[in-house]
Amino acid sequence: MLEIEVCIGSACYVKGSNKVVQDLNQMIQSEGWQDKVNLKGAFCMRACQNHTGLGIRINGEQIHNITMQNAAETLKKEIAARLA
Amino acid sequence: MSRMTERIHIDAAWRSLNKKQEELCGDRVQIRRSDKCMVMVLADGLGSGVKANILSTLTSTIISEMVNSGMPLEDVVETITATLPVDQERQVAYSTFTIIQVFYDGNVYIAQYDSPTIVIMRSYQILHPHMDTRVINGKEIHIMTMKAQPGDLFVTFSDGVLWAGVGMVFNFGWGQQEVENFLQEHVSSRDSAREVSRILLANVNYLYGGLPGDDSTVGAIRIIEAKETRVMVGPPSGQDQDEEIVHRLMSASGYKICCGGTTSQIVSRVLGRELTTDITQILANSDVPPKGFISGVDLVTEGVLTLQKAGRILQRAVRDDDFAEGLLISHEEDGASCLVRDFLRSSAITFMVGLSDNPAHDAIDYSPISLNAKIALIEEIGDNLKKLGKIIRIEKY
Repeated sequence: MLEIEVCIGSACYVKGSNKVVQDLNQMIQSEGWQDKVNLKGAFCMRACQNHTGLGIRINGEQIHNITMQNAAETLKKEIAARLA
Repeated sequence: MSRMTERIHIDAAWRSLNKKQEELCGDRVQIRRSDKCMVMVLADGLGSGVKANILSTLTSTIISEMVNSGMPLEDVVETITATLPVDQERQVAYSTFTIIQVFYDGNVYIAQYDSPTIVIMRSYQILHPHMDTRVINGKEIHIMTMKAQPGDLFVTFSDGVLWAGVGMVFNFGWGQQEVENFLQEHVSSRDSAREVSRILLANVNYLYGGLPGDDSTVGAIRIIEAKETRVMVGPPSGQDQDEEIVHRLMSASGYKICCGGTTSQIVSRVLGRELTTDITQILANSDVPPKGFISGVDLVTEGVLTLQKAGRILQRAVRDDDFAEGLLISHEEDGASCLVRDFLRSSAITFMVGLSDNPAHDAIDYSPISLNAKIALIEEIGDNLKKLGKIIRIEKY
């Protein structure tokens, strides 16, 4: 089971983390990953202060340089690689 | 900072029915609240329309401002009776008044001039405390003091209420005894002050057949248990203060509320309880970040975006009574709506504002949220809550 955490703090939220949550949720449905991926919210992981994109963790490992624009594509690859 | 022991808080509301075909009401109620007490003044200007409206507004404003500035009730009565203008033709004072001052330690002072006797109810029984009659400046003033308990209800009204139905349903109107009986039968101990004034006035309107023969006004005061809601917003400036502030939050007798991601993490760490969140609100297209959960804390929300939305909701609530009432029964579950609902259910709210600059906010380059802007926002929210009758304190750390 992969655990994906998305920061829902103010800074990430205004940068579109809510959109990323929605996109990821949709992706999980369309790829049929419901039993393999657990999507949840998280609090500040300092991505905002370190300027490393949105705060996103997969199984505890922070993924850097994710933006609202590249999130769907990049995260799909990251998830697929880990599930393979 | 020493405060008097707060035993009670006050839920106060009023409502008027205008005399048929009048646009202005000749009765006027003013409510003021300070750190120590609340004062309600009901004034009934002689006659109706513009003249009565101006007189009752003047009288009630002068009295409530004097009482609120700390002047003893008897001095206020002395001053107002000496200055109440007397109608040249009729040789009577222009405006009658009832003053009810309730201190948060439970002491109640009431002064009435030429007004229907105030009705005091304690668990469905009508109390008749002794009234002193004193002649001050040639005017007979009824004065009473008592100790209030949570649950007590005070209902004051203009004589238009007593005259309801005169010449129609009743030959001589409704009368004091009937009003007392009605309140005993129709008001439940759970009814708010607003509800009580509505119930009584609805019957007055009914007795007048929908065409009130006189301005009718009801002012109601419900004594409630003193409960202080505490809201922790933002991390304190010194990290060594975290523990103390969190414990202060948890000592609240009312709701314990935590606003802000970093703030929630501090509370979670100090209490050693897990902080979780629920993204289903994002999936439901909420316009503010989702709430969090910490066991033992009543509400955990994101900070500035949630406060901004709560501020907008309150701004509208101040202007629109019906909207404010609707908020209390709304089913909106986003952080801002929950925050506003908890505020409206509280009688006293203390904001504990942390003065540490939040580094997370520097990262939002197109929406700069400075500490000053955040404090200004909280002050604005506090001002609007005051207008809604809440006791507001702001502490900074």
